[in-house]
Amino acid sequence: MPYTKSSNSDAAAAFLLVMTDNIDKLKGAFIENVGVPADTDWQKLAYGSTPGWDSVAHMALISGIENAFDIMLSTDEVINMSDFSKAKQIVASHGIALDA
Amino acid sequence: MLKDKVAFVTGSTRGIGWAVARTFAQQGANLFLNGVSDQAHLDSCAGQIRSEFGVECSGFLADVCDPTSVKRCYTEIFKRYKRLDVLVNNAGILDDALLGMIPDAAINRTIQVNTVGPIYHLQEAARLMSRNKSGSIINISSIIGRVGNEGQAVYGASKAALIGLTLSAAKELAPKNIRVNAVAPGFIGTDMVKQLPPAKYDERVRSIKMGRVGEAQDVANAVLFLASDLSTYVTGQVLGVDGGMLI
Repeated sequence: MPYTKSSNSDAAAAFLLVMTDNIDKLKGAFIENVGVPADTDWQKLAYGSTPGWDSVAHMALISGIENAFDIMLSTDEVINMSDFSKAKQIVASHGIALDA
Repeated sequence: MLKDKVAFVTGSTRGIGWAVARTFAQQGANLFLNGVSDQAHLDSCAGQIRSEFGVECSGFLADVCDPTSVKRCYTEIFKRYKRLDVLVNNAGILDDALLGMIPDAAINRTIQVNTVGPIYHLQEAARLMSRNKSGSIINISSIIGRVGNEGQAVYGASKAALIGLTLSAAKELAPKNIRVNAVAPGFIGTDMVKQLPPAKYDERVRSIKMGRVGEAQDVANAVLFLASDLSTYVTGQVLGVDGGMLI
């Protein structure tokens, strides 16, 4: 297909849709495994201080994220995933389209 | 008993590890082997298993106590199968010396290979197994880790640590339906024990109530039990395979 302005914006829109879908998947993993509500302040989530985000929930969260995105996180990534922003960065580093 | 399961056996190009690998393959498992230094021998072992048993089998040339190599193994297993059903932490070394004569390098290497390596592997394997909420991890300890022996302080410490690892990991991983057990072989006729001086070898044989040296297959059969669904309610156990040996 020849390059056109509209096809470019269609691709951008599709990419945005994928990103939104992936953010929802990531949030879903937190909701399911850490037990935070869907309307939580995502930027304030932090391992160890957010109620429910203890070491047991963390390992469940890791499994949830790995299954959701079909990736395998390294031990260093597991240890470093201490807030939502870092979770986005780490997942994005596996080639997942996320606004990290 | 293991049809289409995915299993990884460390230190599996000879001795007990090789017997375990062959036994698993005979039961239909797809296998990853591991050796530390001889790529040609590792490839030959994998090829032999593929042709003899018709299962998938490949090898990782990797030092079990090098964390980077260990991670690479599990990344590859994930890429290929997305899951792991059985890990056998078998790789180990024996370096006997009396107290006061044990070089630092021997202490460090023995603890690294026999204890630290299995911790790396168990940690990575448990992560893969958690995804399917199922798995069996078998750590090959030793009778020496249970009752000790002269000249084997470091080896005994490294294998006793493996029992501690087994007991703790079993408790932590049971809610995820991952079982962790240890096998404690007695005097098994592998290359490793054939390094013993003849007098010491004879003395050990005399201490075995069943009157014979164990075979690698004796251990492999016990490992198969713990790997298979015959032991779905067994975790945190140390299974002696020693013919009634007394030390």
